[in-house]
Amino acid sequence: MDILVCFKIVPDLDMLSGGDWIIYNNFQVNTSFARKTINPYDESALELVLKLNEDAIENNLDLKLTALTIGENGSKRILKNLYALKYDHVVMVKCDFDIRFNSMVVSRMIYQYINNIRKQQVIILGNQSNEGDNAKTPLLLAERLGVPCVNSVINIKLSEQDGCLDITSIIDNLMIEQTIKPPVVLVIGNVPNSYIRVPTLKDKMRYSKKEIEVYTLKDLNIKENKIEEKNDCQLINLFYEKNEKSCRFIQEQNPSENANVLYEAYLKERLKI
Amino acid sequence: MKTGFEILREVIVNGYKPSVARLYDPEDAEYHFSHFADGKCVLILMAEGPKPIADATGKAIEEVVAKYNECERIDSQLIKAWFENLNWDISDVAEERVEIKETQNIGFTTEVSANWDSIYDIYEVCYRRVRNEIPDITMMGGHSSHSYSNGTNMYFMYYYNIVDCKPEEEITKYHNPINKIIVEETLKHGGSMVHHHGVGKHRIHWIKEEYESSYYILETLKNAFDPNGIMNAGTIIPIKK
Repeated sequence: MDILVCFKIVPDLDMLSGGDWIIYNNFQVNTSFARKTINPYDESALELVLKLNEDAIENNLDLKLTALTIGENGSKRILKNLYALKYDHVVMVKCDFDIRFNSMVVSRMIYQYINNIRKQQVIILGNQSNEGDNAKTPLLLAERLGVPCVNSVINIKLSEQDGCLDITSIIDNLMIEQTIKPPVVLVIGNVPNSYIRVPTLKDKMRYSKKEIEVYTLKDLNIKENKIEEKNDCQLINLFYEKNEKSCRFIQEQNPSENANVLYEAYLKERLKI
Repeated sequence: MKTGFEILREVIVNGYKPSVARLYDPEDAEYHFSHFADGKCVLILMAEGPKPIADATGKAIEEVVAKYNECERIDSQLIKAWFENLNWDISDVAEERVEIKETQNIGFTTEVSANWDSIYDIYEVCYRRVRNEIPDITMMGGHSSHSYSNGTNMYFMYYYNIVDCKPEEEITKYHNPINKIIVEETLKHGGSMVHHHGVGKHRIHWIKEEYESSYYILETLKNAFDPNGIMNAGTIIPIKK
């Protein structure tokens, strides 16, 4: 079974202070000085597939794992680590265009990769991202591929039925268990255990020479001048939603009064055992 | 790292006092600065204080660093962002606990110090030996954060996956052997097994090697202040069995 996990590398937005949220003319915020991480939902997806692969190895089943990302984003270290974690193929599609709000073209790139480069039975994507969240890409991809799509998936297991997967998802607090025969698109939701495992230094060194598979838009038969044309979504505004903490300055007549107000109004209740 | 130590040494020995003088090895740099380090060391030097002093310090640092072609200046904004996120709050600590539990990957530190002429050798041998001799290591690196006219410290950081071992065995399988390598190599090279974090209970076994002929002074002082040996027993002076 060939499994493709599509993941996005995003800036750690927690590193940005309030003053860093300057929106430039092209609707971009400069996040180049923030660390890059795997989008949390995609990280869950990558780890779920590694666990699935462990089960497959125990059951003498052969899974071929591919991880795919779009854009460079200073992601070489992250991509190499996926090799060290035993992904068979780690793929980067080169794209310098702003495709944050262009799900049409993102889904097309993935579709073209599956069609032109390597066929896949299970395609897994994260539910949302902290940058350019559209919640559309998996659905559009499933539609292009003409396969079913399961949302809010929290677990994937090998099924007792040959060639099938047992999928657990949660929608509106309702847990749903389904046995599905691929092809299928799975959208990963709030997985309880979401951190990806850490590769050992020995594995990192062993796979350090393995090259990332890089494809251009041309390789995927996508014309650069059509990228914006295909976009059905136009970004018209971007704003920073301030989430400031409320603050009160205690300004009584002297420190003793300040301390008294602090104690009576804020600490007394909290200090009760 | 050798170049980094040389630069730190020259700046400090020439009498300049940068408010920040930190050198990260490539592994530690990848941990903190993965968005720009690109497999290289990161050297951070900062000047603060009255403008004439800060200007003179900054100019001197630039002159020293300019002698090394391998150094590449980066945007100060990158360091500003790192600085603003240096201190963890309680939610970061809680999140780390969840991450450790899920990934079974845990990290510790061992901090040593040494003279300028031996610190690189200590770094190099500890780095190599821990990587080669300890199983399941996922990260072995470190940084120098405090420098003086006679030497600097090295704050080794190491992470490992806990594999096939009970919680109570983790310390003997991973942590103690790593500490042993770092402490013994440091002492062998004439360094000190501690810097500002103290000896603690994990490194107490080497206290006599650390102090050598001056150990009796330490013991005498401890006995003078704590004749019954009841103050934090088992640190500074080993418990006699």
